Amino acid sequence: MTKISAVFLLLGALGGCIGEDKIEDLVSDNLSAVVIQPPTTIARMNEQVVLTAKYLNREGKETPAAFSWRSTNPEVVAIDGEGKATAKAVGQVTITASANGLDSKPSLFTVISDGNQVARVTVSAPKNTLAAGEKLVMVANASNVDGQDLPGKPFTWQSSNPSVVAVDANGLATGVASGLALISAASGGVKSTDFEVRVGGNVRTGAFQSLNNHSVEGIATLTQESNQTLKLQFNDGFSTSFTNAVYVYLSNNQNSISGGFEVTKLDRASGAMTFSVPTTVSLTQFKYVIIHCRPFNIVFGAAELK
Amino acid sequence: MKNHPWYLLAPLLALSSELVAGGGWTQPRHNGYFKLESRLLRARNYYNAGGGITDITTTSLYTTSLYGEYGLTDRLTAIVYFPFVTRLVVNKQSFRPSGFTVPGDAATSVGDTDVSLKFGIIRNKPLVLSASLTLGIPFGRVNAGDTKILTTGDGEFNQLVKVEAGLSFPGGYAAAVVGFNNRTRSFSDEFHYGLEVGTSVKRFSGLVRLYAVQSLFNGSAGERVNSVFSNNVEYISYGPELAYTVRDKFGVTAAAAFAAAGKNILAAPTYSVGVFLKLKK
Repeated sequence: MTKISAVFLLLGALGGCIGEDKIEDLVSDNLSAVVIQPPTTIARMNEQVVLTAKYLNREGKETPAAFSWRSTNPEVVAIDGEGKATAKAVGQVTITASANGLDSKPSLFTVISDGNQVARVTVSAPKNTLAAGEKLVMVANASNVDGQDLPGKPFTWQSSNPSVVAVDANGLATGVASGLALISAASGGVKSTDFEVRVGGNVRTGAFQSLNNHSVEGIATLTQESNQTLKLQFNDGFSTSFTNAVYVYLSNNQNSISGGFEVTKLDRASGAMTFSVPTTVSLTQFKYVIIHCRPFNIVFGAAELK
Repeated sequence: MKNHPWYLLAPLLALSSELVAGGGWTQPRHNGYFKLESRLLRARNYYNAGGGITDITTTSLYTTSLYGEYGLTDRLTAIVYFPFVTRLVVNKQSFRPSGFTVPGDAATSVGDTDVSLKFGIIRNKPLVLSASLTLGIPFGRVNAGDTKILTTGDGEFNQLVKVEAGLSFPGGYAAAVVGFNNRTRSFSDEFHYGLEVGTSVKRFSGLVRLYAVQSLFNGSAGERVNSVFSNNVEYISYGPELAYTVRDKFGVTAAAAFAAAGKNILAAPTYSVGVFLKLKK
């Protein structure tokens, strides 16, 4: 009888412990990218700088790859197959690395001959979204290679898409139509990195789709307020299966919360509701709103924000 | 693993009627059969409402129960299934490489208890017939655990009426059952049916059992009631059970239950071991 009792106790012990499930972060969206380090470079004439690149696969994991390098003007900056750049003439170029058919974002490479000349231009603004017709004062700043400001320098302003955002000679931007424009300023032949301005893009919305044979209905709307905070709203038609241990997440994968942001725990299963999202989250950071049963790791439904 | 038809389900909540050989036979007066049993289920999937398999956090169900049949008269047998320890455990989730974690959860309580009366309609013949009424008393908990999502019972009062037939033949027996489970709290009623064949060789007995539950989908209680697995549960399960009689009155059993399909139920085999005692006057 003692042995039998031991068997029952053993079974109890096996079933009774809270174990641990190790889950690989699930990322089905294509996160492939080629990234250059550093993103901007300043070098003196004849100086050599080694740039590095990394390739991220579809899951966003760094993976070995063979890179090719190119300069928009090899007479200013020449770069070899190993990423070794040689500053040959004063000026500015962009460097691009490629791997597996994918290009990196252009990396600015500026060559100077004098420590007091403009080596870097930066652009800033109090916000990066505009309504059509709304105006935004943008500020440019020039500095030398040591980071010291160079006041009084004239700037020229440029918009990549004037039909979306127009910018005048003083850096005053005006929203024209919905879309995205890249604003830059240049001084002394040195251009800033691009500053993204979105017009009419302070609202993203999507309809919930039920998943895994559970039910989620309604529309989710993510809005960026004038003070840059985000507000997530579900409309009157929102409903889901039940609310015990069910959470709202922002995620880039409709099937997983990994890498996502937990907005709140649902306290009721239907009706209109509004949640605040902290400023650490940006309007365009996540693609989906997910209704997720957290203990069992089941996605009840997702809304793709557009 | 999803492609393996043998990787199947076991019910989240036990029903005594599918756990023991009963058939159409009743216990003679003052005779009985008593069994102490432990069952273990560990599921990494569940059958969703559409019958498909969905991955879930590993969920374990451990049940220790007492089962007893006692002949009040030669025709009337009282049956009790009492799961005095029911523990449901949901694992902690650790995402890699992000390091994000979700804590696990657990709940322990007495489980839903079945009390039955079985009446022998045809007895002492090769073909026997009986009818029974089982009352499912909801001793188990709903909205349990830190997450308030775990269940050790269905939270409603079952009333299961069954008709069972048994056929004895040289070397073995066959039994069949049909039943109707009237459920409360707007849960859907259920149709039950099952088949069983068994044989004995010396001290060993073996049986194979098929048991199915079909929801009538006539209850308005959706999964909002308490859990993912609360209403409109369906399954078709099958499995063997072996018993070894150590002495005249005392023996041990081992059983497994698998299933071919299911809805709203954990998808994993159930394994059980038990000891039984026969009371003979």
